[in-house]
Amino acid sequence: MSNFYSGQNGRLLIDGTTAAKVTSWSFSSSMSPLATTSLEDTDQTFINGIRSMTGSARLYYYDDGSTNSASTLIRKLIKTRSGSDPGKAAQSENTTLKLQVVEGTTVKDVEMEVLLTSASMNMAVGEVLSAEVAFQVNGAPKGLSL
Amino acid sequence: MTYPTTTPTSRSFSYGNYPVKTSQMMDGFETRILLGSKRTGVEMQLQYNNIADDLAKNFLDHFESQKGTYLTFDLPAGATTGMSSSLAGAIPGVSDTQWRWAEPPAVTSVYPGVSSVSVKLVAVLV
Repeated sequence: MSNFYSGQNGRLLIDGTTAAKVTSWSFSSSMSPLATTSLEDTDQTFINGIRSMTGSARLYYYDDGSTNSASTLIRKLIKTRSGSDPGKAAQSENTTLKLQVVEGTTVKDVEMEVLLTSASMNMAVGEVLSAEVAFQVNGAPKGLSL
Repeated sequence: MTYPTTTPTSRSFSYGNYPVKTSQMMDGFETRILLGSKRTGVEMQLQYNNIADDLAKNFLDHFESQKGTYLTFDLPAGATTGMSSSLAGAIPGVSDTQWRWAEPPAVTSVYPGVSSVSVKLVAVLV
């Protein structure tokens, strides 16, 4: 029988710790082919070129007395100034994300080291506060079992 | 060593000109003196994009074998691939002509094992 997956099978791990209140994650992998078309060719030809991966995740921002996963990610990107110089602050941190599809004890995932490229929070009437973070994968994934 | 037979990705050439000495006279008239009977200064620029490093090295080896811009050589038919024979015959279109490197080949690495090479040749009377 075929197994299909939905949001209830999704899980996100941040540096090995399961993130809470994740509403979505996504990733996209692409490759830029290198054209090898030469004079007198009638159709374009290509060879494999550079690959890249990007992705995003959306998490609810909540308070359970300690930190929350949305805050964890936001703090990896945003750093406060360390002294009187407004132009100087710590660098953003790379982090390891695992985007998982879980069914019982079966876990399929993609593990990657990422650089957070954006984080945005939206507060609006009638909506739960959430954070949207986007990331750029550094190099090839560490693991892939999807 | 002969010039590599790799088919170029793109090609452009300058048709050259006859050696003409032009002088502006004090009365405003222009005087031109034809100094030769053959067109000179024909240049060809060839671009080889995304080729294997081994093929790219062939251009370096050829440049080396020609002592850089010193020696002359015949241009292979591959350099005019894609042109009609009449247009190809117009390059350089001058008898007793060979080619030499106008400048060293420029190699750009674009991917592991893959490079692009820019070549500039000039036709010379021999």
